[in-house]
Amino acid sequence: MSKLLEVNHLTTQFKVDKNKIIKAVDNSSFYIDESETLAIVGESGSGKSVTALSVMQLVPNPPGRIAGGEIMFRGRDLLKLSKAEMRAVRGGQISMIFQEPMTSLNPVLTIGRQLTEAITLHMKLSRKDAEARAVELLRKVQIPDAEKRLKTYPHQLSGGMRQRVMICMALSCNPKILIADEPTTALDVTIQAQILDLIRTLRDEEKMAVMFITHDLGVVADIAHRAVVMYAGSIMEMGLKRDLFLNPLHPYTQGLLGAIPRLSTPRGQKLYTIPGIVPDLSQLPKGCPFCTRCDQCMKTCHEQKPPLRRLPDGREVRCFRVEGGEEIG
Amino acid sequence: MLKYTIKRLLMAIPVILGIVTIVFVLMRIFSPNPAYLLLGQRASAERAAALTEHLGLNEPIWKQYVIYLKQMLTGDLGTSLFSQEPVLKEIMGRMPATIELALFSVLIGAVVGITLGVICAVHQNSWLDRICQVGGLVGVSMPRFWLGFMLMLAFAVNLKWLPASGRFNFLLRPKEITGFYILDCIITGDGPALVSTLKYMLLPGFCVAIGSIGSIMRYTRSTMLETIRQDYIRTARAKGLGERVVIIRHALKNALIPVVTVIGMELGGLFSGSVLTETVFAWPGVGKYIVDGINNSDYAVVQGGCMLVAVISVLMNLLVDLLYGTLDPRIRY
Repeated sequence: MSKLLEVNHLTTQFKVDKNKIIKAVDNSSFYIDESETLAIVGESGSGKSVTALSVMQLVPNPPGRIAGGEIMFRGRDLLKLSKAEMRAVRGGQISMIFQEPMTSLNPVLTIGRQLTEAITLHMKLSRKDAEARAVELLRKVQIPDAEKRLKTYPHQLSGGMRQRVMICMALSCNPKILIADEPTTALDVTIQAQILDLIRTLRDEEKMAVMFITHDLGVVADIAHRAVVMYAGSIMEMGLKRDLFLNPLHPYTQGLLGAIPRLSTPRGQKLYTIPGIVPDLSQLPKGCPFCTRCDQCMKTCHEQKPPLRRLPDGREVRCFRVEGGEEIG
Repeated sequence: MLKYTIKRLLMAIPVILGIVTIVFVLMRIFSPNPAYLLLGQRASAERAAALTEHLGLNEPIWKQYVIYLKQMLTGDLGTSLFSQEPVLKEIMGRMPATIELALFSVLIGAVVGITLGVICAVHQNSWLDRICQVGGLVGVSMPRFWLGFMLMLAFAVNLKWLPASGRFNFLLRPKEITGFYILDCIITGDGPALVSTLKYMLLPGFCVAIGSIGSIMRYTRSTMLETIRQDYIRTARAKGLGERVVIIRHALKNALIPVVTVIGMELGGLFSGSVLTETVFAWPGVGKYIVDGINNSDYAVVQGGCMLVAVISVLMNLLVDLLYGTLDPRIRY
């Protein structure tokens, strides 16, 4: 397998005040192989959505700005492309679905119009052929009465249906990578399972790579091959799903896994939580970003930020307690 | 939709009745007895009393009111004291002038206002945006009659580019078919008359439009700013659409829905506001007709004129609400 997308030392900043800049994503590197699913996990504000938006170059500017790094996709650095070249990538080769199906579709345009505009743009099909393709795609995402749906407006569909339409739209031009930014968070659990199933099936059929952003470890277990754990803009740990779940190395990953309620937990026992809250990005501790909440924190953790290490088996961890391997930043 | 329209029209009846009543009462209280105006100040008291009696103005006010309402229900708005012509006929003759001016200025207001509003929103906080905001505020707050005089002074008196007042040049008078001169000129294919008519319309039209441009621009800007931060705009960008398509197809169509209300209110306001502009520019429309009626204590003229202006405002508001339904698929009546 070769690397399809390689993000190196990506830093994305936001200007929050006149003289105050925060790093929503700080020097992060990761990659996605062909037809692989990479999950990016983290709490709210950990920088996972901004990472995804950075790849698409959809970070609202101002206040946001990609301050450094490179995003290599099929041999080209996306950050060096012209606006027009990037538009051809967006929606054509890399597409994205969002968290809020209720607000992510334009309320005054028909489903058909919203589906066909990307198809006519990227695949250079006529309006009629694009409509035929749209119908075919709607069938693929299991929307009944596909022809009729083309003429309906988003408010006439349920949340799950709208997310199906979003997926349909994202898949319409056979992208190489699908970025899914918490696509199931706003849906109820049964619909969530259906949508995950759908994404998995389509991924296997179309041989797409998926970058799946979520805060739900259950979803990671369900769909991912590998996962990146982010905290306060930095990558804390990366590894194969099985390794992360069975043998988490970073105290943060351990905490996240410990916080999953289990059926075996005795009645009345308090559920485990990681103490404290996510730090304000403008007031990060000097050392390890997690040091204020870590139960295994040492003196050095407060003084300097631990480097990310790549272990011999390919896992990456940012913690002073883990030794061996090579420092990679 | 038909049911909704009928309901709205029925709801308009009390509004119009209220306006008729207020105008009726105000005219009786504040306007001098028209008998003296008709006969002249030096008329003898007996003659004046006889004429007052003849005009039915000796009756108690409530009786006059009932008589007027009865008359109105039969579609008779009374007769002008001065011209001795039926008021309805006179108003209908002047209506096209007022409607034409109002449509012309609202068209300028909408086209210029929406365009500037979109540009300002897309380039928020740029120098252009700031200039437009200040300009818009000035445009909204400037008194129209004063602006009218200033425009007249600049473009008609000093520069002599445009005619100062009136609606047409006697040498290039359009042939009257519909009463809407621009339309008439187009129907008859009369090029020179069209140019001349447009020139006459430019100053009063622009004078009225400047306020509309200000309010429509400011409103478009704020709804646009709200719209371009919506999730579906991000979706549109994620599809790889060009910025122009994103702004015009995806953002503007959403942002325009509330702007339509403002345009409708402007249009309704233009019919009542035309009273001032038409007087300043001697525009032979309903507004000037009402002002002349007030000066002459011509009760029937003022009452009829105000009522028709009210009817038109109500209809414009209804039209806007119906238009809403075609713009926003979520609204169905």
